[in-house]
Amino acid sequence: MKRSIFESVKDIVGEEYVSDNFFEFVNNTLDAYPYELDLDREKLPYVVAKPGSAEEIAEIFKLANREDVPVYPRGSGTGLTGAARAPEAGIVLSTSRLDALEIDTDYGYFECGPGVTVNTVDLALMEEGFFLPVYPGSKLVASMGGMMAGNTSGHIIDACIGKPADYVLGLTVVLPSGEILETGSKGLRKPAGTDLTKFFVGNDGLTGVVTRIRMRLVPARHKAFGIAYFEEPEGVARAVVRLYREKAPPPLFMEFMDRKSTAVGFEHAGLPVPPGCSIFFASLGGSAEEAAGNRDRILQVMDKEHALRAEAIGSIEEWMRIWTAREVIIASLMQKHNGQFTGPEIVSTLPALVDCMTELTRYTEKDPIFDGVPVYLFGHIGALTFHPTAILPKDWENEKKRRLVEAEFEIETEMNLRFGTCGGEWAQFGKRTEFFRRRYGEKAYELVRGIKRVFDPNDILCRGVLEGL
Amino acid sequence: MQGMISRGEVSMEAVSEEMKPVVDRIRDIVSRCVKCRFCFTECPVYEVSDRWMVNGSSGITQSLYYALKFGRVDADLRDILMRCTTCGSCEVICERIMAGVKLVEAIRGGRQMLLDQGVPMIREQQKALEALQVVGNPYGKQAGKRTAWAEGLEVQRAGGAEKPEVVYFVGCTASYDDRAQGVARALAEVLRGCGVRFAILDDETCSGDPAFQMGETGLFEILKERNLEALERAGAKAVVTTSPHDFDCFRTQYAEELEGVRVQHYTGLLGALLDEGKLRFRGSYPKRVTYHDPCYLGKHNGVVEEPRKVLRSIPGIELVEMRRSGRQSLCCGGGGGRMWAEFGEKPRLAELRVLEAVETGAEVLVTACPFCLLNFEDAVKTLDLEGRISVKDLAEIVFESVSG
Repeated sequence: MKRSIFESVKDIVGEEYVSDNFFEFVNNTLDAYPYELDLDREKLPYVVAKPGSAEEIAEIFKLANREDVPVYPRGSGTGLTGAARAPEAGIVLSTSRLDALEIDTDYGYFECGPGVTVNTVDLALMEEGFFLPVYPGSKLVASMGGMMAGNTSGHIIDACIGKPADYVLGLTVVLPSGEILETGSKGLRKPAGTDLTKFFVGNDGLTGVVTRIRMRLVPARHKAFGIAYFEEPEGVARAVVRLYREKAPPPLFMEFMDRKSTAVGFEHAGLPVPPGCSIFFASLGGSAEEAAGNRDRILQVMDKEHALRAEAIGSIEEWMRIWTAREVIIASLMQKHNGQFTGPEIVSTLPALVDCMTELTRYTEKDPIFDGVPVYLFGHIGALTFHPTAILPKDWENEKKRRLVEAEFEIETEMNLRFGTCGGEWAQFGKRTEFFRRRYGEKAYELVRGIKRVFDPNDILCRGVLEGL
Repeated sequence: MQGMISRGEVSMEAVSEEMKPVVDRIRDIVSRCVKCRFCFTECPVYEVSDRWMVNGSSGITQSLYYALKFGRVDADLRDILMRCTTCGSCEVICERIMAGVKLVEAIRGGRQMLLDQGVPMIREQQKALEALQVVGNPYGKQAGKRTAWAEGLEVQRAGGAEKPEVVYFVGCTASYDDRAQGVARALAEVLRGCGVRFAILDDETCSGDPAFQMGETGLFEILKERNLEALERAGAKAVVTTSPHDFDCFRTQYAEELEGVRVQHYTGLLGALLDEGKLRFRGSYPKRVTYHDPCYLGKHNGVVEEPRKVLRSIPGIELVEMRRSGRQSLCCGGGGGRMWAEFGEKPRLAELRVLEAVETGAEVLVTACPFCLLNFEDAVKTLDLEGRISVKDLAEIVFESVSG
């Protein structure tokens, strides 16, 4: 079976673009968790293929349906919910060759393949004076296909920019049944009414394989940067609540670090350690003056909430210097404690933000959840998102590491249920399946399964990610 | 198509006692990796090998880790490990934005493991190691001809009545390769012109770096011992090398024994001579040049400014930078034992780098490493760019410019 599948896929994509190397299998199975995977050899892929076109993918799906073999698309494998890992043996379909990128200023959009990295797109757009409304922490390596599956804008604040789906004009998609579908429009207006695009952006990769993404070009806007320090983390939370309540223009992003993270981050960046917690942000504007004005509105809010200091940052050079403290905080922590990072994504509501901050601060400072494990608190506070981050001692036994990661997801589930929120940066299934079922109910989960069956009657695509199919 | 599953699996029970600490160290290093894969974005081999995961930085170390776990130290693993250039790009980015994992050290440990487990070597690499053992250089040239490059030059031999200030460790490539010998000659003339009292070793042998990089640590120790004896006889207080690979090897692998001996790559010495006013230019070099940072100077040892300082001081020269420079420089593909192996990459890394140099409009691609020099010259020929760009070692340009 394995061999015949391999040979058939080879016939479709060509000898150069197919692998049956044991180590290639292993690498296409790993994901970004700090524990060693129990790599059951029976669950390693039959083949890793790198198709070069939608047509080749369609042929692979037809083969998979005939032979009843699951197919697992794979981008960069950086997903943090555990869904990047294929739960069963099958065909791993790498998107790395689908990396075309074309910026069409006449039409006002760009088109790219799913395998191109976010960073590549971002840099190319920047050169042309445009802006990519996507900024995951892993942007250097994360693929655009993954951004579509998760419909994530990463660290960017939804209230300022929205989600990628707001900018996607259309897609080319290969359905798990082997048909190729085009959705959306080549115009700058998204279809009103029924638009199948929405079934494939934010689909957790379950309904089809996107092979071409068409997104509206967004002109780059001016940015103005600010930073503030607070004695207590609750002061930060109060300032963010006030920012929204006072209708201050939401910034593009606003990042928070608790006192401990601030000290480590600034020290690692070679900067004087400031007092208290820190909050960094960037405001947008159509002109430099407008951006500065928006930034100053936020600084005023910070002052009203008794910031120790709230300052405009005058130049991009100065910003880059200071931003390093936040940008590489995970590196700073891992190097300081000689361990590996892991952490959940907890999202608060606006009214609960201060309480959420208090609760998480208690876990990290006064009442540590995990004995002997340093935990730091930082996150995308402007998007009401926290990443309490544990640094696991690398010498811990594998099973202990795995249990701690599981415990973090349990805490995430419990808190997000309590706040009535959900993860807004990563995707929904994998380790979050239990959360999804509890948050939205069994009917919702059954509907998701039903939607998948419509597109994929034989459960070929990402088999095993949804339970009970 | 990538290699087949399952051949030559070796049980981990067969690991020798002396390898156990190496295996522990590999596990220790890789256990810090969070598999973020940021390192893939900087890995030169990943860039030119159709982006198969096994050819990208942490893809290599994860392969090694699971090879140990499953007792699968075989020819597939060998091909993965030996393809790495050991350029260190992965370590640079990991140190900057992640856990600071020493991936190259793990890869070198894995290469030791291959030999320990009796996995057959890549044939050309095997031949190079055999030559190292027999004649003290990987090219199989006669040991007695090692100093032939200096014939006709006033180059002092160590061991005379007068102790030299500096021992010039020429290295195998600059000693034997027709093209690279020109670098040794140019450097010797420049040093002499600056009044540096230097000597070469009559009994110089390979630093052992190729053996060390290919995992043959036993052979490395033998070669190291020979050189240490020769350096001691010479009364060396300072050693200067042509090759960044020898520089790195002395600095890191001879560190304990050479404590108190100043080790420099020649670009560092030229920089110091410039500061002291001893390096002066009578002529000019009115050309647009771009400088390629050799990995074992820039990435491994942070030497990026000294070579540029020397170049900028040459009258008439216009120094332009490539898109990737300094510690982000693109590897020429020659490190880690790859001078003796062919992996069929298209384009070759050296070709990619020459094209980047051409993009700058430079007439001359300057480097400071014999491996880079040979690889780039070859690439200029295969790309049919002769007449458009030439390749020089920095020592050669300095020599031309001091001579007037």
